[in-house]
Amino acid sequence: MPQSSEDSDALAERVVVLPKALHARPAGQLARLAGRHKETTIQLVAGEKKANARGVLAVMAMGAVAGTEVTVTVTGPDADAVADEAAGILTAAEG
Amino acid sequence: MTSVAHRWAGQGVAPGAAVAGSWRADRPVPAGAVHIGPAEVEEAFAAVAADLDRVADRVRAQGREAAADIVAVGALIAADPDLVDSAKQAAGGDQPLPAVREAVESYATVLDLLPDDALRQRAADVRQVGRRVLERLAYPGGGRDAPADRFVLVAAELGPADLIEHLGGGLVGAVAVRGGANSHAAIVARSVGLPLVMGVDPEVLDLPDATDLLVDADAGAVVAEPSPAEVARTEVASAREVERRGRLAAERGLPHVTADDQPFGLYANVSSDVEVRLALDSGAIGSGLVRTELQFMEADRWPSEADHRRVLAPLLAEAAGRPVTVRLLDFANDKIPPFLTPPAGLPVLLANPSAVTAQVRAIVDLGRDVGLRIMVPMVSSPDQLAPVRAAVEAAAVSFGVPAPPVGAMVETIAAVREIEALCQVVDFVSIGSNDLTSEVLDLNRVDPRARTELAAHPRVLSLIGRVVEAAVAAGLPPLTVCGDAGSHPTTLPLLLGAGVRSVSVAVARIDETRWRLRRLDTEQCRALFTHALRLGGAGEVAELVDERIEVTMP
Repeated sequence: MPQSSEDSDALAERVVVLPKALHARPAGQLARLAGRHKETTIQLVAGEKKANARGVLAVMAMGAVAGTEVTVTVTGPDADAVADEAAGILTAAEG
Repeated sequence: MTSVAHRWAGQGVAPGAAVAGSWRADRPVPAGAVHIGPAEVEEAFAAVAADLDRVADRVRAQGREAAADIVAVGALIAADPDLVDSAKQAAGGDQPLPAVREAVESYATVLDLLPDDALRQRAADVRQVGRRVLERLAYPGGGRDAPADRFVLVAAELGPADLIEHLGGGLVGAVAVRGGANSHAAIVARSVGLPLVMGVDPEVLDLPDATDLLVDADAGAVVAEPSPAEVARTEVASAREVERRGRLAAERGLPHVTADDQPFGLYANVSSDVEVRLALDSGAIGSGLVRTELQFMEADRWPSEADHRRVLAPLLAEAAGRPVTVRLLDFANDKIPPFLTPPAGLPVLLANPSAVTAQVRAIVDLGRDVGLRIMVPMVSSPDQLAPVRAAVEAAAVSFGVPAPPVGAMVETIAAVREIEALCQVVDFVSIGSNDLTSEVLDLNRVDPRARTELAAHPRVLSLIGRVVEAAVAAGLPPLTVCGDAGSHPTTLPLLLGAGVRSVSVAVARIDETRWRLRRLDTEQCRALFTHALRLGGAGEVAELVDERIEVTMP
């Protein structure tokens, strides 16, 4: 994977409001996204609950319902693009 | 091998028959001295994840998207780094297998405790992954893969994923000790045409794998080591059935128009997210009837808003983007929970405004992503609509969404008598053919004589015709018939003849209903209907339909 030194320190944050509960499908899409970007860490925070997006169980165990505000913090290569993609998964109306 | 000739009775919950070697899905894993450590555990999880990914790909290649998604979640769980780490740590002790089992169980329990029904169901997926990992560890040499050849699945209890993962593989039938016709596994089995017998004696679990096992769901029987004659008979019948279903399913995706190019609507009656998934896979447009009372048959009080949300959330999430008609609680006839006394029904629901509000709020809030309509069951008078509409409007205001259409299920003679007035106060009507037929012919719904084809009785037909005319005259959208008449060979042409252009049927009937509708001619059905109204009884009408309508089935 191409990687430059300024990229690996990159940090991006997105705050989204879930249009629907964070069920298996979006949790799975997030885990796959994290799997494609192994050098990049995707952290989710909802209230007092936190999860690393690479773990589908931890994400589901947040029990985040529709209307929950979720902060996505991404560090590492391609942080901005990965953060956009993660936010897109969390706010998709379908799936 | 010693002869184990045995015959057990059970409940056939998905029709058909099949014979093949048995394979126990949930053979207990020996807890004994298996020598394993963290490396073997990690390897086992990776292998299970790869297995499930392969199954998901195969199921997807067969066009079963929803089923593939269910299995793919299992693969992601098996690859979950937290779960794998915790199991690896557990494997360091003296009793690695029980320790790994406990580690998995603790993850399942976390999900079990969440206040969200869809997430709680994932706990079963975690346990299933754990079971596969343990089997792989306990049986060196690759775990217990299902036979590559044809087999009959045997288990104490079956989940829907147990069946889905073997679809398209060698699975030809299944047997379970626990469970009944309403279980998710039974729903899946019916929709994919897999013979399934439940409620069989636990003795069946003791059969060694690869015992010849005949599953005859039509007769409610399971036979170990059947005679060659029985085997031959079953194999012919089951090959024919597999081919028939394949040809019916091949028309998924073809235009929903009749032989004379009239568009029709094809919807499914559902009560769970699994049924929604299967219905959409089968090509239904959406649901014309979401039954909401079935989850509350043992309730000791009116369900709260939270109760309704728990039941509806997964179902409505699955139906996102589709038209969905949710029916309010229909506690009547054979569906009365312990806290109510017969005849219950709509008057009792309306006498409890907070019960109406609780359900309507859950539906309106969770139904934002679907093409939502709310339907009132067993309406007997137009004035019963006002309180429901008021509750719907209040809920819409409080959630800041537009108020969904509110309609009536016409399934009583009283409603038909006042149909013109009723059409003035609703946004749509649907017809419940089962209850209407029972009332017109004075039969109890659970009466074995209350058969679907009786909806062909001229007295029932004339009422249906009257409802269709009134709905058209009032400018309402095309009405839907929700009931078994919508999928029956005798009654379907008559409904079309009465002017019905939309039906909502059981998930297992979607393919054959589409097949029939695409071959019926509405003009011919119209003439048939007019003629049928002049006949004396359901039997005579059935003969007329037989004579005039010919739809060749595969």
